[in-house]
Amino acid sequence: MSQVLVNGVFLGCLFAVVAVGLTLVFGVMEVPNFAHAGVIVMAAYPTWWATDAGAPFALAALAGVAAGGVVSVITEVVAYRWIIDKPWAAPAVALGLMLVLQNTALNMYGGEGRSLDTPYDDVLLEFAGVSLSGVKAALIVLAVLSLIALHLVLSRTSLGRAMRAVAQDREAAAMLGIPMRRQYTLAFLIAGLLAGVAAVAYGPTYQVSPYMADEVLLSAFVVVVLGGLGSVAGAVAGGLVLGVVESLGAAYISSAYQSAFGFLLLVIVLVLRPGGLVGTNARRVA
Amino acid sequence: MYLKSTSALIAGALLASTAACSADSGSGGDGGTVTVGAILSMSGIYSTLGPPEKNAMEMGLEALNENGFTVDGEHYEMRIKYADDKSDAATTGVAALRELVQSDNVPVVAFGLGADTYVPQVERTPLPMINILDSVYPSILDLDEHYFRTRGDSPTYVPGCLNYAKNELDIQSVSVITAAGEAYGEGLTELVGQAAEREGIDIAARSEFPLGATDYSNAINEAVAADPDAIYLSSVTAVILPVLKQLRQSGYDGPVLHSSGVNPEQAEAILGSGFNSIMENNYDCAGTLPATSSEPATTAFAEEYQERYNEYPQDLTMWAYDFPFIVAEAMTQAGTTSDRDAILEALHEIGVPEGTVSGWLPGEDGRLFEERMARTASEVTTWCPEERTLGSVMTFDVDDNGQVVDAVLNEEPCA
Repeated sequence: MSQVLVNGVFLGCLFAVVAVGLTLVFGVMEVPNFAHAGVIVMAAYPTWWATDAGAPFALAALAGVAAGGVVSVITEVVAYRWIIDKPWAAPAVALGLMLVLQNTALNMYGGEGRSLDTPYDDVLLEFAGVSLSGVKAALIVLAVLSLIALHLVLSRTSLGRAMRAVAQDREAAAMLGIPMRRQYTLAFLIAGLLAGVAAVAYGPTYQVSPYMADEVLLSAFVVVVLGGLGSVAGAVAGGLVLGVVESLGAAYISSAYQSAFGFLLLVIVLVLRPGGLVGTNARRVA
Repeated sequence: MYLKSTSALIAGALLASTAACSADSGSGGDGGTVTVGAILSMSGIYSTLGPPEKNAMEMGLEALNENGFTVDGEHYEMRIKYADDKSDAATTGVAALRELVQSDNVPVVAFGLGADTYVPQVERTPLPMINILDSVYPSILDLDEHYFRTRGDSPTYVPGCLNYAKNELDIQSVSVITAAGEAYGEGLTELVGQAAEREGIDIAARSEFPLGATDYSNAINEAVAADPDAIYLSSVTAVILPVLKQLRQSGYDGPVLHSSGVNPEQAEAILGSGFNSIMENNYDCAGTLPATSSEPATTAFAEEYQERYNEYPQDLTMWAYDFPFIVAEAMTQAGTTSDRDAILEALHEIGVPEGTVSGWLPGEDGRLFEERMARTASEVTTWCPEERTLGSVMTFDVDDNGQVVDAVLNEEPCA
């Protein structure tokens, strides 16, 4: 049971760090950012490339996180900015961007999976009959640290407060003189950095490939809806709940249907609490 | 006069281009070029398969075209028109097949994945389809009588894994981890169950993960918790290597069995710098590899392939190399380069073509294809950590009852 819960927490942290990036963008711009999967890929490959070229992992990871931020901002500047008043176009644009990013990676690096090596690949933590590999422990630590940092940015800085204001009421925020475009770019930058964290933390547990984030993205969207659209706290809670539910379902019912348990949970929550686990009357980023 | 000359020139040019087109499209002529088709996964998730297949086919074409081949007294060369199914046979692959068959009018198509999705097109426009990859159980050959395959199917090699595990590794119980929804893996799991029963090995646990999953913790926990002597991973290379990595990361260091045909370069790319230790205590049961084969022609091919492309030749490379030779032999026997029905009939009849390198095991009557399946020997390979490569520990055959026969052990697999 303890091992199952630990696996669930690992999955939950992965889902949460991806979902927070999604919900941040949705909260500010109301865009279902499918391209987030492509951003994760475009952050993972530079990290792999740098480690493969002999760079220390920490340096490569920083480069990967930065690449995530840059690519994410580029998607906002090149595509999303132009459809802010056409929300019906957002899903198509987001899907198109995801394909563009994934196929760019495919053309640049090929379709073969690549291993992202870390200094803690061989670490195995064991306590009270529960084991956790070093790469998974690192993901949990990185997810917690980055989410704490995000919380501090959103709650303690003027930039964060402005972003929350935009998320709560875009028109009112504009009337108060908050520069909207800067907030959009900032939201994408933070989402991209989180995608970078997800890439460098999650890549070593699996492999780097153009399609490495597809399944995680689906689960993250479930988390976003579970937690309440636009709610950062909801995304964190939803991520952990989804991770644990999938893990319990896999362990005690069937691991073949692990992903299906998440969608079952989504249906139940939508029936019982349509606003999500952390209900939001209005969009918010907090 | 000027008009007449111009007309004559245009007419001449038209005739020449028509002649060139007809030779290129396969209707032949002395010195003509026959074009056949190949649908390979050059990009996408299965792009580990397509490029080596294409490389090997090009080598085979070069070798074949050195002397060409003769059909009905006329001399031909061959070229292959390649199509990329982008690892998506159901959409891109089907469109590519339609173009090859209906627009390019190729007489034969080679393919890797997508046997089930190509059936409607083959029924509409029948032609010989030669598969050089898919050994899934139940057999793709049951899908359509136009399908041939240049390798033994899973039942010809999976039993070797369990036989070797029982007799040489003293394994009494095995847990099986399967990629649910992946046909090859599910077929392997069924065969492992059958072979384990024959060998008296207990299946300690059967766990699954959904295809496309990236975290296998729960399936691994279930398999390991049953305390098996070994774990069998059921799926293809691109799927099982990440599972193997997470299995080792979880602390399991026991024997791992699989039938994925993984090669050292794939292992290093997907498993990373720790691949040498992760691959230790691994046993892979599949068709013989070019590099571990005892056939001189096969090992010569392996060396040439490795030298030319600087990569370890997968098993499918030798079958891909032989594809042009097999088609040429069938065309020679059929006496036509374009009659699909006649070429189909000839494929049933041909023996092992000269120039092939795979070390084919012909049927009792000397035919290459027995019930549309051509076979090479099967083997169990293990990982040699010092050499960082694979070594053959046992070659074997499997009889009609699924029993391992003619097993030959190699006492020094890493020598």
